[in-house]
Amino acid sequence: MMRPIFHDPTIFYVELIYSAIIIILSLLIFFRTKEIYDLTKHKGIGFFRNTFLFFGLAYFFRFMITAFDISRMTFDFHIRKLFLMPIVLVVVSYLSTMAILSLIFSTTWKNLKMRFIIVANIIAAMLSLVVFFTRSSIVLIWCQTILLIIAIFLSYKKHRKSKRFSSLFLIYVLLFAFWILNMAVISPQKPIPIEFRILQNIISVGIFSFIFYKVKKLIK
Amino acid sequence: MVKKRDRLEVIHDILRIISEKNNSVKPTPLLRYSNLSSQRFTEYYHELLDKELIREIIDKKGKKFISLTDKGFKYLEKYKMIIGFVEEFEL
Repeated sequence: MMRPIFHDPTIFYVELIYSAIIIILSLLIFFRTKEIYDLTKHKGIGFFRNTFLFFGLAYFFRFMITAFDISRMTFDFHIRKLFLMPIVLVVVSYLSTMAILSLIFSTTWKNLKMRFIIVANIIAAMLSLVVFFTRSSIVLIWCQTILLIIAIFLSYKKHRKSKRFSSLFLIYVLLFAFWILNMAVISPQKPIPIEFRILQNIISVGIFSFIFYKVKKLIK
Repeated sequence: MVKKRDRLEVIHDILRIISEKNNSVKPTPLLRYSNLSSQRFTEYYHELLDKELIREIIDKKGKKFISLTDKGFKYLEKYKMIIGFVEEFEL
């Protein structure tokens, strides 16, 4: 059997370990908060949990994009390019947009009067369709950057009323920003040095670890 | 001005009242102790039944009593933790 040929095995292993850590941390947060959600059915807790479920899944499929790009594996080039990549990119677009919207809704659901699940699904599906037709991760990066700006604006409005600085707000902004960076580094248009990739991975793991640590400290 | 109780707090108060009444209280005294309008009380009451935090017990004389389920006791036990979590993550 032919062995997979990797352009650079180091990048593959770095991405494999990085994705595994993020997925595990996301799922730990999701399952750790299950009991308090079951007890309360609190909307905010529900959105918070969904954020990490969607992020965990998005990182899993993102890893698949990286794996497709780095390795030729057993996939035929034309099948990979024309069939698999757009589908995985659409799945990543949908899941990551749902994650970002869930996090926005988790802190703003009291102020926004809307059917969150329907609105989130419509936005995520529309964005996924745009990504499918353009077949470009750059479009996804730009659309999610716009969502990030909206999230910052909503959060700013909320905190201006309460007149207190929230460290959590900063963590959430970083979480979004590093997801967008995560997509940018796997974009084929701009190859990024491995040192930068590793540094960015370490910071992302730090952000997820910090959130998990907070959850673990609060839920014993 | 007295701060309006949020949903989690109202549910906690209702469950605490039931627990303090030896886990058996009639609906009318519970409405009185809970300090809610009868419409809001009914909404919460059905919500608590749906979530299986409370249950209705009918005695031999046909009188209705309300008591906590295991889930209800767990809610009371974990309430501080839940509030801490919601406040910490601004949910």
